[in-house]
Formats: sequence, C-alpha cells, structure tokens
Amino acid sequence: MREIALLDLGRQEYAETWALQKSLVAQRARGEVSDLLLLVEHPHVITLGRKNSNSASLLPQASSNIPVFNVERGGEATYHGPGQLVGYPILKLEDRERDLHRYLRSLEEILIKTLGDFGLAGIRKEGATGVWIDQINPRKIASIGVAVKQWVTYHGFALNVSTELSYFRLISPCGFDGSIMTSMENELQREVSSDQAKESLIPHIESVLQARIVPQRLASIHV
Amino acid sequence: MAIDFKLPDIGEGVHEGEIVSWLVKEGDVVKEDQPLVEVMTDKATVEIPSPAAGTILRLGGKEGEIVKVGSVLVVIGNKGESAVPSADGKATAQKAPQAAQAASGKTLAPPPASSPATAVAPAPQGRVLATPATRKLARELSVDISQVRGSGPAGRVMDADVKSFSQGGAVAAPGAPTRAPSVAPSTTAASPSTKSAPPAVRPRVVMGTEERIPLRGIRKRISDHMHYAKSTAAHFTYVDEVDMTQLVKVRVDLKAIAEKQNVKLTFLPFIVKACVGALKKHAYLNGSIDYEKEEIVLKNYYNIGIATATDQGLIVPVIKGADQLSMVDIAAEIERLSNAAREGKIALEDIQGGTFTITSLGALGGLFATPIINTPESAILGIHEIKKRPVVIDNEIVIREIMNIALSFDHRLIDGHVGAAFAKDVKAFLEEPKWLLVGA
Repeated sequence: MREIALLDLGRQEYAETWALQKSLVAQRARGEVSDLLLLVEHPHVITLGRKNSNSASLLPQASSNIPVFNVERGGEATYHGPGQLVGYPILKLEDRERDLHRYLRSLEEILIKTLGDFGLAGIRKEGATGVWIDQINPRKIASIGVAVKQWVTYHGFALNVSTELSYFRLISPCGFDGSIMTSMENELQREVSSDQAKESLIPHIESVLQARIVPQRLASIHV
Repeated sequence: MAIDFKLPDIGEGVHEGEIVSWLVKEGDVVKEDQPLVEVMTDKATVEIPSPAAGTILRLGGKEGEIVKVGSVLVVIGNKGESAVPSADGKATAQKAPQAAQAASGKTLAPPPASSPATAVAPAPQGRVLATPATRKLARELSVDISQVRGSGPAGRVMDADVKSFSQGGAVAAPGAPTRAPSVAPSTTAASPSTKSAPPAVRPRVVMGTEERIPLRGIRKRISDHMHYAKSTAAHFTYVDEVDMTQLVKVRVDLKAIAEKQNVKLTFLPFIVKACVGALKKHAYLNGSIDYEKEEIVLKNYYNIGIATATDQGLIVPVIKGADQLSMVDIAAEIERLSNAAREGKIALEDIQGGTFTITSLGALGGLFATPIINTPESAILGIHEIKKRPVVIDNEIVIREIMNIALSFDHRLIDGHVGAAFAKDVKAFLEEPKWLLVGA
C-alpha cells in the first residue's frame, strides 16, 4: 500500500508553497522522499495555468495588489484565498499508473466523496475537469489542475469551503464566467470550517488512492 | 540508428496533447530521462522524459500545436545522423511528410489511398493563406491548396490560382492519379458487340483530404461562449415582420443630412433606437440573472451590442449609453466600432458591458434565423433583409418594404407574452418612425 506523508502547512504564501512543491518533486523523483500530500490555504492569489499563461483571462478590474503567478499546471486562470482548502499531492506515478485522466478523475472522486459527507451532491461535468454542483444549473465548487514532471505529480485541487466568491469575478476561472463559482458554505447556507473539510477529506484520499496517510512535520523532511 | 519517439499514451481517452513548450531543440544532446517537452491534455501538463540518450535530430511539432498519441514527437539519434535515413529507414522516410505537415501548423491527414506523388511532395513552408471561400473552391476542385502558388498579397492563394492549378495541375504533376476517366463512354460501348472487350475501367476516385486547424483564439472563445449560452439560457425565438416603408422614406431624407456631417446613416441606428425605446418599456429584456445571489438584475443603462463579422470570427462591439446618443451619434459610433473590429484593433472596453444585442443578417437575405443569446444578456434581436413584398392593406394587395425580425430571449427570465410585447413595440417604433422622437 502506498504511504503518503501529509504536510499540513496551514496558511502559507503561494510563492513559498510553490517553491516547496518544486523542491519536493525533484526529491521525490530522486527517491529521497516518500509520496506526499501538502494541504494549505493561501492568501489572495491568482494563478494562470499553461492553457493561458498570459493575462488574457484576467479581467481589467483584477486589482494590482493580488499577486499573479504563471504556473506549470494544466488549465486556465484560478483564484486561491482564505476559506479554500488546497491540496497538492506529490505522487510518483509508476508505469501502470501513468494515466493522467485516471488521476484527474481520482481527485474528483475524493472531492465528491468529501462533499457527500456534508450532504452535498458533487458531480463531474464532461470536458470540464473539477467538481460541480447541480446538473441543470452547474456551479463549480472545486477546481483541479495538475502537472507531472519526471512522472511525479504536483499542483492539485482547490476546494471552496468558505471562499469569498466575489474574488473569482476578477478572472475567468478556467475560461468560465466568475459567477459560476460556489462554495460549501454558499450551498449549505451554514458555516463550514476548513478543518472540518480536511478531516473528511483524508479518509477519502486513503480509500480512493488506496494509500495510508501519515501526518508529518515539515522539519522532518529535508528541503 | 535514429529512433522515432512517439507521444506515449498518457491517459485513458487521451487522444492528443498540446505541445506547451519544448525543453530541448534540434541538435541538443540529451540524456536518458531528461525532460524533452511539456505536453498538456485537459487540465494536466506533463513533461515527457527522453526514452534514450542521443542527439535530437528533429522535433515533431511546434509549440501550441496539437499532437496525436502515437505520432512522432522527436527523432533521437547520433550526432550528424540524418533524421530521414535513406538506406534503411523506409519507415522513417514514409513518416517524414506527416511530421513536416505537422510542423507547418496544420495536419493534413493523407488519405489512405494517397499516391506516392502526394507523399513526396515538398512540405509547405507554413499555413497557406487563403479565404474560406477559396479553400472551399479548392476542395470542390479536389485541389490540395498547399500545393498552389499564391499570387495574392503575402502569397495569399486566390480563386484564380486554384482554378489555374486545377486546369494545369494534371500536366504539372505527371503520375498523379486521374480524377475522372479520360475515356468518355462511347454510345457503342454498351452494345452487345463489344461484350468481348475487356470491362470498362472503373473511374478511379481519389479520396479527398481533410484539413485540421487548431481550435484556439477567437474561434475557441466563440465556441465556448456559444456552447455556454445555448446550454444555460432557455432560448425562445419569436418572429415577426415589420413594414419599413415609412422608414425607408425617412432615411432617404435624413441620410442626406447625416452625409453633411460625414456620417453614413444606415437602418441600424434606427433599429438601435427602436430597441432602446422598447427596452425602456420591458426592463426584463435588458436584464440578467445573478445566480450566485439569486437575484434578477434590471439595468438602467442601455448598452447595445452589434454583432459584427470579422476575418477571425464574430465579435460584438457595444454602443454604450445608446439612450443618450442621437441617431447620428449612434451611426458614427457604429462606423467607428465596426472599422476597429474589422481591423482587429477593437479595445477590450468596446466589447464589454453589453445589455442587449442586435445581429444583422440583412445582406444575406434569408427568411429568419434563431439567434443565440449573448449571455449574460437575456435577449438578442436578429434583423433581416428589407424586401418589397405584396401585403394586404384595406382589402387591397399593395407593395410594401418588409423586414423580418427574429427575437430570441431567455425564457427563464422572460415570459413568452413579454417577449412578444417587446417585439411588437420594436415593430411599432420602426413602422411609425416619428415615435422614435419621443419614445427612445
């Protein structure tokens, strides 16, 4: 069984986590560390995936005091900020696991099961990776965008727990209008904490990825 | 010996990937497992590592290009080795045109029965410049447009080039398969006396090629936007006919006045004004739905989009504050925006913030269309050719100038009778132009 070391980074600046991810990917590729899962919440930040690594999907009102990063993951623009549970699995894909779509679908499955614990029916939307609510009037609750380097995964998913949704209006998230985004709080009309979401998430990662999650402290991993 | 490294199968249901960036260039010496190229599929990017050590002899595509799973990504070999070995590399030699075509920015799928002449034809240097009409002509004449020398600006292939290639092409390319039997069946061929003759040769039909153009830029945006609009708004289209006879006369008079101000007065400014007048009466047509807040947004400003065809596709410049502009102001603004749009110089702010859209299919005629709403707006008016038609007035058949209009609106927000009432008001304004003076 796969063993995944869990690093809960709390709140951390995007740039810092990004550098950490890249360093850990290299170490994972060399076999110096085990598979990892970083959980983090970022201060306000906009990242542009490879599909749109220019600012075309930023709307003019995107204020200059929110940092913007061009990153390696697939997909277009997204926003991260307080109230969002962000996960970056750093997993070495063995030969038979080198199926990117299966990996994307696994991440969706984990998030759909997590939402299920809260009584929310997450769904997939054909051709629009991520997790959505409501087939008829779809609202996006979690975004997914990954990258693979030397067959090690990085980047990952962002689940809107209590995210201030108006920030999505600064961008065209994944090419959609900012107004299609939603959050768990918005759907449930009650408070939900990131810790509650996290607690529910971990067992589903274990079952979907057939892994055992071992909480670890960053200091125990040489960066 | 050189090896062809093909794009590996990177996922169930993944048939192709986009080359995001090359991490090596031709001539580079690479180690085994060194990242060669970043490829993107769906929401995932992947750096593909080299399967072996060697020298990069050829890259199989440009950045931004789509490559199919199983097609050659790079050719890796020894330094100084040719990418297309002539002695033992039959397989490589056959693939060369395919890769070369991929490098040209488009993929021409060679038909299964393509002749050797096609396979060794020189690869085009870049994407051939030609209008869609010329491309269509080429297809109809079974001419491979990439083989045609363009006489237009910047080497653009013109209709005449295609025609002359088609006429002279057979002579210029000996060994090319004949398109049609050159032997006309004689009348005697069917007579029993010729029964002993060998059966007539069946005409050999050359399979047509297909052209594949990457879906991106404005076309990609339009494609996403249209799909989104059609899959969210509950489209309802209402069609009516408008008697434009009076307006045709009025415009003749006003046109002369506008010309003195160097403005060309078309029918469009009148239609914009008629819509503004009707929107003021029917606020929901100028509204939108904010699903996040579960609110209906009724706008007290009138920004009218005009769907405009450009070389790259349809875009919708917006006349801001149309309720505050005079007829001549609107005409001037339409002229400015459509020129900017056609020259590709339109500013972002000129295509944002629309509240209602007008799309004109007038020049093409047609009876009516079912326009797609420009979401998040809630309605769009399609206007058609003004045409003399017989109509019955006071039990007499008379000739009037008739224009058909087709209004599509979002039935989630706008009930059928409201949409119809709006269309009736637009019709009334246009039929009695003097009402425009007070209504809009």
